[in-house]
Amino acid sequence: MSEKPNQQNPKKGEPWKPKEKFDKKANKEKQKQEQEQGEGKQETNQPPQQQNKQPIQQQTADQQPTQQQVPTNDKQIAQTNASKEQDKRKDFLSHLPIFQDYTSVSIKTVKQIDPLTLHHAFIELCIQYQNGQCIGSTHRCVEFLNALKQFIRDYKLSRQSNYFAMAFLDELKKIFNLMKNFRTVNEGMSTSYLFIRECLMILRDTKLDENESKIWLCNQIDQFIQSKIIAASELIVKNATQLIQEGTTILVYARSYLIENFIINYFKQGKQLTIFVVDNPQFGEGSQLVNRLQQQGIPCYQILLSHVSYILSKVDKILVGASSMLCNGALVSRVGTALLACLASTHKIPFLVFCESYKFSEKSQIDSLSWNEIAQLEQGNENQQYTSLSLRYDITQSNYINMIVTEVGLIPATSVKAVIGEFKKYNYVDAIEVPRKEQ
Amino acid sequence: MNLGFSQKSDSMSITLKKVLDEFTQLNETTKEHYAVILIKVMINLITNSKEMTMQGLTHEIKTAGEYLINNAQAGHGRSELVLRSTQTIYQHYISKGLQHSQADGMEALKSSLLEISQELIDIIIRSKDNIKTQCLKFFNNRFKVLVVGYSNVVIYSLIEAFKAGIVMQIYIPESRPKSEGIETYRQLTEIGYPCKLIFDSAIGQVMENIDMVLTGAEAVVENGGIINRVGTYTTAICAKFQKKPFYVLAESFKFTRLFPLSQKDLSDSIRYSQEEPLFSEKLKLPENLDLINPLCDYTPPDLITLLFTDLGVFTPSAVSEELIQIFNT
Repeated sequence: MSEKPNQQNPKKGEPWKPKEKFDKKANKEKQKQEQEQGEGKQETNQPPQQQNKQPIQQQTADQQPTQQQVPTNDKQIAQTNASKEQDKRKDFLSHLPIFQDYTSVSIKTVKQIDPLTLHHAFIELCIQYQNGQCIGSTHRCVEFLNALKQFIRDYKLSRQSNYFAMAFLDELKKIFNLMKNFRTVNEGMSTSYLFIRECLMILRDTKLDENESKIWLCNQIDQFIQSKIIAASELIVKNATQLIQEGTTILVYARSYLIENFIINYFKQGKQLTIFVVDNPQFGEGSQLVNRLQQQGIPCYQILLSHVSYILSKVDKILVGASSMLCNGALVSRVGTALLACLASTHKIPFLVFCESYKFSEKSQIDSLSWNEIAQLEQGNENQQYTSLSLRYDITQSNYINMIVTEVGLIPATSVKAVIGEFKKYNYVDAIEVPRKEQ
Repeated sequence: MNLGFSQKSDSMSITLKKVLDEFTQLNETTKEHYAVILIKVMINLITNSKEMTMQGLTHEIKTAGEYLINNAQAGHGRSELVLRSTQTIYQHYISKGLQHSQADGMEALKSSLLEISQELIDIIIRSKDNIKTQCLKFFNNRFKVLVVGYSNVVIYSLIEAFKAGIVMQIYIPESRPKSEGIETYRQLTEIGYPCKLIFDSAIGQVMENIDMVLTGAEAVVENGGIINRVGTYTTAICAKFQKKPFYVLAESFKFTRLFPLSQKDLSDSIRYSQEEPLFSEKLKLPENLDLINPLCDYTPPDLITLLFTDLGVFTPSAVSEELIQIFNT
């Protein structure tokens, strides 16, 4: 957002002046000037598509349109707001990404500036991400792939390039870069991006025309969803059903697509379980899970994370979902999972993680703060002495995890890198069928 | 049609009985390892099989294996885990061999299967030697070693160490209920080791003098833990608390895909022993004694320091990677 000002070397003989970065007013004016100069150059030279980034970046601080009058100069207001934000966040968490709330109105104003921004499917998706309508790693990934399929169908090759594959690859990169402004791209989405890139590489070598390429690509995306998400879910549920005997008491945290499916499937087979659902009050996912289970007629208890230590002595197993599994065996999941894992190990209760293999990542992380996402920042008064903070994810170390249930089998937490190694041999997915021209 | 089906099932049951008889006979007469016996029996089954299809043959092997596991005894009162793990690995290698074989016709296929079986037997026979070579680097003169239970591999390694000139003081717990420790004591003292027999209850008291604990395994489970004779878990807890290294000597065909999380997750055949324990006649046992007599227990991986296998010396977390490699290639 704000560029670091160049440090001027003091000339000889002059008294030493404090360096410019401490002088905030001078900074702001300098940045305004530089931006205006930059804008002027870019407007003339670069093709229209690349202006997408600028209007959105400048409006990142434009919180709600009702706050101020329609700004005469967007950039100036954006600058002042941005620097205020940074002042508040010059703490140890300033390296974490924070995403401002977009409303449809603010995105429409963005659209007015430049009509060639994101496809409407993605804009709807990003608003859903922001509202909290679309949360949970599997849900976000599937919705993203559906939006991508819509985009593929509406995409028209410009006359300059004849090759669908390479042009679409550029488009895909742009989409990802833009989506990063709204919410971080999670591990499942990264894997699907790699998969689509592989497909495009294969497309590049074939001689299909535009329509056939599009149809084939949409089919491949469908197959990815089918094999990596839906079929994997069925296998995981089957593996887990053999693990968990009838009548055990299980504890579930927040809401996971896999665990929800597992519980519903288990009860459909006529077996009984005692279920405790632990809720995280900020995101309210536990309540959503309880509602869903009640619709299916499954009884469960709902408690808060702070009450867990009371009932732990009665619990046999703890099941959690995952946002991703890291290479060193650590689990990235909803904030609060690490707490639950510590409690579990103290009481010697088995801690099981349900995770599909497409969420395995080659990253490695030891603590929760080197990378995370800030969920909300309450805008208080100017006089407020504190900033409220809310993280979205946390890291559970591998020695607290007893077992990971995946579609390739039951594995201990230390074997994640072996599974990743196996997958790398096949480029993350099974062999992709090469398309043939239909005659 | 009816006649055809009943004939087939009859012939199947005949082959199964034949297989079982062969297994028990070989087990009693020869001194070979029960895993080797299992594969030899399978070799005979393949050579004598009248199946004309690949699927039929694999089905026959599978049913024969299951029948053997359920009805045979591996000897020395061992659980069926060893047979089960060997059978799983054998079936895996067979199916991979069938997939990749370029042979035409049943006879060529059969001969390729027999080659694979023979290779496996060679690997199993050599596994003890491999383990012994790696163990020798960890033994030193005047070490004090606690040997848990009766394990062929442990005894073999210790005897070879003695022949190489390494003399260690060995403490052997009696290992109730089967009192296998006494057999270990007998075999080691015959060679000339200075051994001391202790009661199971004295393990905690003796542990502070010990330098290392050695044991075998019935099965190595997926997270690197082991299933072994009951009493191993207790000894492991003592060793961990006293910060003594706990070494497990196990061949690679004992790796299974089981994944127990606690003692409750073991199968019933392991938690309840079929055999009557020996009580001394001097004890006045009450009538209608309600006894809990498990055969084996599960030792979790955080209590184990290292596993010595013929594939190498592993930490418990590496076992799972090896398993993935075995079953995915």
